[in-house]
Amino acid sequence: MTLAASALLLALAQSPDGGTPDAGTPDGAALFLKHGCVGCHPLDGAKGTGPALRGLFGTTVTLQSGATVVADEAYLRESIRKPGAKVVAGYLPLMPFFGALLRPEELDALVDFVRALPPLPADAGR
Amino acid sequence: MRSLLVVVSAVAATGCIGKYIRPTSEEKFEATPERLERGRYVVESLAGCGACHTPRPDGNLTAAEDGERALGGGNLLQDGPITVYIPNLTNDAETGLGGWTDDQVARAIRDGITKDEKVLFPVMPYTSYQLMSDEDVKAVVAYLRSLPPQKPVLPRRENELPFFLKRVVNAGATLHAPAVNVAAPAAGDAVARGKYVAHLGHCTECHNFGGKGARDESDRYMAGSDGAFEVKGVGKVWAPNLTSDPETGIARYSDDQLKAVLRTGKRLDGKLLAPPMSLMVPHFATMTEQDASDLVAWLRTLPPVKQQAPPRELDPAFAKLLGE
Repeated sequence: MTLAASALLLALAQSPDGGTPDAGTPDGAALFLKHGCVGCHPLDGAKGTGPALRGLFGTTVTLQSGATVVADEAYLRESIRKPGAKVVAGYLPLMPFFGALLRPEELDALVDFVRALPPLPADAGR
Repeated sequence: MRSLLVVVSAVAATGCIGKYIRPTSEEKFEATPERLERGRYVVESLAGCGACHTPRPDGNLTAAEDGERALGGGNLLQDGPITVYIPNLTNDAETGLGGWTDDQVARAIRDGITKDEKVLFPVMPYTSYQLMSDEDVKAVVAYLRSLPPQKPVLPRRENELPFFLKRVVNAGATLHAPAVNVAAPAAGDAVARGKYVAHLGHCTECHNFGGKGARDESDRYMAGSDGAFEVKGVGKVWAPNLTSDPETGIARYSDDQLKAVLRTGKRLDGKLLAPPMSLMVPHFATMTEQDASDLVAWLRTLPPVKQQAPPRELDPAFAKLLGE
């Protein structure tokens, strides 16, 4: 159910022009599915292996080290390329290194996608 | 009695391992684009070399990989009385493979023999990698050669091994006949391809661990580890049964459920995997759908064996980290 719900959310989030990786601007939502991000970061409020991403942008995150960091664009970018650099408290360093798998414009598209994810409604994931 | 032991040990220590050591060539493995791409995939996604060989803070295997220093080595694998130094796989001349020929690196990967004809401690899964095809091992070496040289996170140190274990390993007990002329499985043979994926992923190293090395294929093949793995700071973890036994194996789970373990780092009961398996997840998670499907197809062919893995015994601090 989690995956299905997340896929639905992604379908709704698809950009109207539906870009593909090889033609024009890559589609962040499609990349989010293609690389399996949704498997650990479900978008329907279910608890995933990785931190929840909806409404994350701009919030303050506590790291395993006890330090805090604001989830800005630089943080998202670094966390996709080098997931081990800033591991969120309560999570394990399980995320693949996507740095080698993503072209720069694909990384941009994923960052834009995560940045634009709306917060969960209060009753989600029940 | 004591003198007899000394003699036996001395023979074992200097024992003839020559038959396990093939001469190496000076061939330079050409770095074609296809090879570099395949090598990257084998190293990063199938074999997951970085799980051990990419530096982690303080060389601590339970911390996160530092992807900026890929394969620079220097971590310590600490399991009970064993401490093994994980070497640098980059081209650094002083601490890495800079002074090795391509074929010496290939021999180390598949046969466990170093440039100086020493035996690698078998936590390096050369028993599995002896199945790596000639083309794949060349691709792996070409890819390793393409990486920027790094320095290891901790300086080289001697392995700490119980006396007898060191003797047995140095005597060649873990070695096999040199791997030469190894072909890749046929493209259309899902089960053979899955077995190949399982060996590059070195699943057998833990899931078929018999205490003194791999069990024979006739002896509870892939039914889980006979002993616990004790990664420092984690606790005791047993590798579970991957045979098709309905109660203690994987028969009751769907293909998608099995693949999701590798993609999400969650066990089939929903709890998070612990090291050593969790160290592999960042790598296995990027395996292609085809390879994951073939792997499962091979697992489904394993004859059922009834063997229940004991529940893991995590150190309290690590259990808390896992949310338990």
